[in-house]
Amino acid sequence: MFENSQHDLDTLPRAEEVALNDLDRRYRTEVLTQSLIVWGVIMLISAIPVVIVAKPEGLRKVLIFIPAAQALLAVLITWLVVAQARVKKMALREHDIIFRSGLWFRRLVLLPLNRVQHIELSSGPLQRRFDLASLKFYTAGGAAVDLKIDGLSTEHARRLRDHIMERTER
Amino acid sequence: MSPAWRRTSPVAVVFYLARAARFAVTDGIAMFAPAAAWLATASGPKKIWAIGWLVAMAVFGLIWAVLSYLRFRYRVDAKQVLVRRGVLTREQLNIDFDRVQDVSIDQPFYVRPFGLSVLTLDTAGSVKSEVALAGIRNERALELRQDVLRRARPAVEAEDAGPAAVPARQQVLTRDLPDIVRYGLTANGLLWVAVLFGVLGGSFGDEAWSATGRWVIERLQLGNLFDTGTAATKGAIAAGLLLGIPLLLALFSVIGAIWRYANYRLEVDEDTWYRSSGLISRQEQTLKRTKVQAALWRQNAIARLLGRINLQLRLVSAGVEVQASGVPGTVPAFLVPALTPAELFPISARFVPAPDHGAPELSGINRRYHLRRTLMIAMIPITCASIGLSFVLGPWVVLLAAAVLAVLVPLIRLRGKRFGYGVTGTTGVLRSGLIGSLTTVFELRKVQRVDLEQSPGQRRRGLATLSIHLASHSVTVPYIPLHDAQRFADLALWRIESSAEPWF
Repeated sequence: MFENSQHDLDTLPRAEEVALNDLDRRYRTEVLTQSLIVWGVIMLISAIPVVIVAKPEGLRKVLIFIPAAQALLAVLITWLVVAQARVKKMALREHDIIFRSGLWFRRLVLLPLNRVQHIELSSGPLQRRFDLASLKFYTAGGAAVDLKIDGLSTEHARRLRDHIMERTER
Repeated sequence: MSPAWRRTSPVAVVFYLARAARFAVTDGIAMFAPAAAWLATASGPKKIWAIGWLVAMAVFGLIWAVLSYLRFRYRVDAKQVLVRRGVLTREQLNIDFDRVQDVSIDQPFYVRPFGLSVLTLDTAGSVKSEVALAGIRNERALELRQDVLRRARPAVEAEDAGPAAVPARQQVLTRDLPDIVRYGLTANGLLWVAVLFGVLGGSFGDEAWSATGRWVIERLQLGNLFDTGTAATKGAIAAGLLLGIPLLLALFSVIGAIWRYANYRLEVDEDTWYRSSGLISRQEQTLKRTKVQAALWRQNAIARLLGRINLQLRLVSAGVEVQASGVPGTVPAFLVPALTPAELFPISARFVPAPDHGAPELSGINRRYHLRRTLMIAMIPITCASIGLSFVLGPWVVLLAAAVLAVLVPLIRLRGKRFGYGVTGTTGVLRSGLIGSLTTVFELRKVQRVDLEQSPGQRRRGLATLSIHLASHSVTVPYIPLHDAQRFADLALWRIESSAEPWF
């Protein structure tokens, strides 16, 4: 299958041997906060019928189960998203970005810097509170974002963007 | 001094009208079909309304076409084509010569007698930035294409390419009518699935079919046509329709292929390729070799039977995920139809470097794929559902499910066996398929992104799913050994990052 490049193969730099770095620690807190807010709102809304319905008593007892079940689900999902945030790792090599994600279904994205067409830096209200930002990388072909990295400190995201743009301009 | 803004020939009105009509037929058929049905069934004053509505649409189309023509201005200067257009919202487009992906010259039959052409410029941007200069003189079109191509070429070559340089085109390939008919038969695989269903369906011909027949007849409001027949004859007619419509579609596919690709000629001048074809409207499509992102060897079941392969050369897709069939509205792929293997490999190798004598040897994927897919897709859901349903509907459901499984399981095996991956020199090759196959051949340095994915099961077995994202489309090969996937990725990255050549 491989013609002539056997030698190259053995000496090539290996992406899997790169030590990947964790994302900013505040990212986990941000994800945790976001999940709690969303589930808090959902539970509040489903608590409304419980408060409104005074009689019959039986129905009220049934209705209380809804927020209770949601609380259970909220704990489970919050734990999951935080765990997912914990396993996200990235590394910047001289020529590419390596990003790993996924708790059970692992995904490793290898993005060569000289194929990056443009980069988008964004930060939502919650992210700004934690001084975090997201970077979106686009390559040619396909309108979809090629790589999105949440959970970088604003400072780090800016530096990363500037560094990559400087490299791609050459 | 900058050149003046020009207008195209008034014949362009016909071009815009034809385009509007085509749009109405291809994209608006769902919109027009109910109206047409209404028109067919309406009577008296209703009919007048319906005809009035159609006339209004036609007048509106005509006004739109005239306005499109009046508002269209273009200007060509040293480095770019500028276009002002738009009926309601006006826009100005600046198309740099070196951003042009593809230049094609069409001569639809209604502009041909006037000695005019339609020149289309495709850029790497969105679909909207495609520009058609409709109704310019033939010589002007050829001249403009020369200009665009020469300036799109690296500056070094421009020196010796003086204005007197006559393009020395070499003919590489021609296709005769039988080849084009073969292409027409193999262009769309789904068509044959429909035919197959028609044939299979025809052989049942019992109660189920008469029910279907009634349904079809009711839907098509054919009741008054077949008033006298029994349910059985109605069923037979419906079966005939079901078989006949796909065959009619196949015929249309062949006619379409002849219309578009008759007298096919492939020529080359250095690294610029020309495809000219067409029965009545001649079309000439131009392609720079360097802009090719991938070569696709497409051989569906019918093509395999005929021993032919269709070669598609893919360019940067215009921001839309291009499906295997090629979604209308995106940059059309450059097609070389109905090649024999002996013809395919040398031609393909001229676009993407690969051995020119035969298909490269590929490694197959892991056998776990069959097991996983069989369990995930077929066995578990179908078995569970059929057992559940058998309590409600009767035990025959289980039998039916067994029959479905008997068909599905070998299909999954076939699909698993078609997957393949390999590297030859600086070129990557990925293959998928079922009965036929779809092989993507691409220069490793043109890859945009590589993904490696692992499910928990794959992690335990040391397997991975490799996705290669090209600027034209993406290809995925599942269940290959992790080690191979990693080496493939590393090799691609090395080629991408060590190559100084531009990728498009």
